[in-house]
Amino acid sequence: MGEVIVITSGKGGVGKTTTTANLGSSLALEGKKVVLVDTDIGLRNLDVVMGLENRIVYDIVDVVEEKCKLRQALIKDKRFKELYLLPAAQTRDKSAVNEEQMKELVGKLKEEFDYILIDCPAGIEQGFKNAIAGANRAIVVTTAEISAIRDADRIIGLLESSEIKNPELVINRIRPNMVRKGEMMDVDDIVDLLSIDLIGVVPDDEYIITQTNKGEPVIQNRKAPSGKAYIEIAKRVLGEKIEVTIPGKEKGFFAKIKRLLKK
Amino acid sequence: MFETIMNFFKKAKKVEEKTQNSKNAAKERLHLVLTQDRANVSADFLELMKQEIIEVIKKYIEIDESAIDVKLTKETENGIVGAPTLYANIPILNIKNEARKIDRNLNKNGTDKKNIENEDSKIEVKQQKNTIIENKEKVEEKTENEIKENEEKSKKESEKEEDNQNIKKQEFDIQIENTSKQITEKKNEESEEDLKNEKIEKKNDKNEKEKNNNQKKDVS
Repeated sequence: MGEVIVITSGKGGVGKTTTTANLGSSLALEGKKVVLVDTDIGLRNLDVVMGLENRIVYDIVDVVEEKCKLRQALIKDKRFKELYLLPAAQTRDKSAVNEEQMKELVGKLKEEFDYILIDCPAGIEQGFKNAIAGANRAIVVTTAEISAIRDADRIIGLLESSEIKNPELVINRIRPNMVRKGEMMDVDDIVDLLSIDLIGVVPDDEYIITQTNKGEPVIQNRKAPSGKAYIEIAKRVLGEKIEVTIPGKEKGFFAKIKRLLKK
Repeated sequence: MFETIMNFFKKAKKVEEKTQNSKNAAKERLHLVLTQDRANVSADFLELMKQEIIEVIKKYIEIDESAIDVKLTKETENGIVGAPTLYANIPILNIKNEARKIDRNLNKNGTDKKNIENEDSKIEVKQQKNTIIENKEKVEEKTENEIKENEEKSKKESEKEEDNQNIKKQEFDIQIENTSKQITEKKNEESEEDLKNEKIEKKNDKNEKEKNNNQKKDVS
């Protein structure tokens, strides 16, 4: 039986799809059988971030309306051992699917996969309700900006009143220089305000843009600092107790020298 | 030249101070906003609290449940914005019968008993209302005092920070003086060395000239 993790945020554009793509790829690298599910019907993006947009034949709405079998809609990513994508529909909207149908779909996926990552759309309406139906774990993504944190707080409240307990936090797009100058809230501030467990911190990284342009997950580029952060998050999801690396405060001799030179 | 350097450093400091505030401003704003969001969004939370407060009050006073107004707001009655406060307006109908029975047993008088009792109960109701109003005022005073205390504390803290910054400025000024002294000293040293070098060169030139003259004499 697989674990169903919904990746949500409330606010749009903070990095849910990027986190879903890279976390899923990292888990696949660790040898797990992973499926990524895009529930942003009408505004699908997980396919394009993964570079699989040309291989879509059937989508999640076709499966739910029984126009095709689940297996026919799943796209196997050839770069990884056991990574699959279930894309969203682009010509429908979020009312095309309801919570019951989602639960049934997720139930079928649980029998075949170790990890089911559900990319949640922005907002708190039907799309969000669909995405959390059937999930037993949640990762809340936020950035260090006021609006993102406020919306994340709302989402955490909604998650706690649903069946999903103990959501975990990913802080995305941290800029260590701004944090040092006191212009951006740091990790401790955000964790204090939201009061949930931290599972990872991802630095702001230009490689995200370049890799997404090519349609490749950022973890495939060894130079990308964000990639390293995602790999760490995957290990924590699997249960390893690693200390969260905070960008700008990396321990280790070379990291400290790099920081001195940058100043 | 020196003044431009000083101005540059002063500007750099000012920029630092401004940006220091932005993160703290964000934290404070978020704190207030989240408190209010959380209370507003969970309408259940306020309802549950209201029900429990009503249960407790019902034991002592008969109240008009339909006209109760409980709210969480930042504005006081005068319209001043302050810390989030819980307001409860609870209209009273009557004091409970238990309280009256105790009074009846204590007053063992004759015919005008009932009239006196009605007047007494009315007075008691008024007294109760007054005490409730007094309590409200006390609570408001307390919160106002707390707000004032917090303001004073933050003033003191900002004064302390200013003092620290002044001390730092003085230290900075002393450092700048020291470095400028060092610079002038070095310049002096360099000019002395140059003079020495010139003298040595002159001597060398003289020596060479003498040698040349001697050589010429030898030849001739």
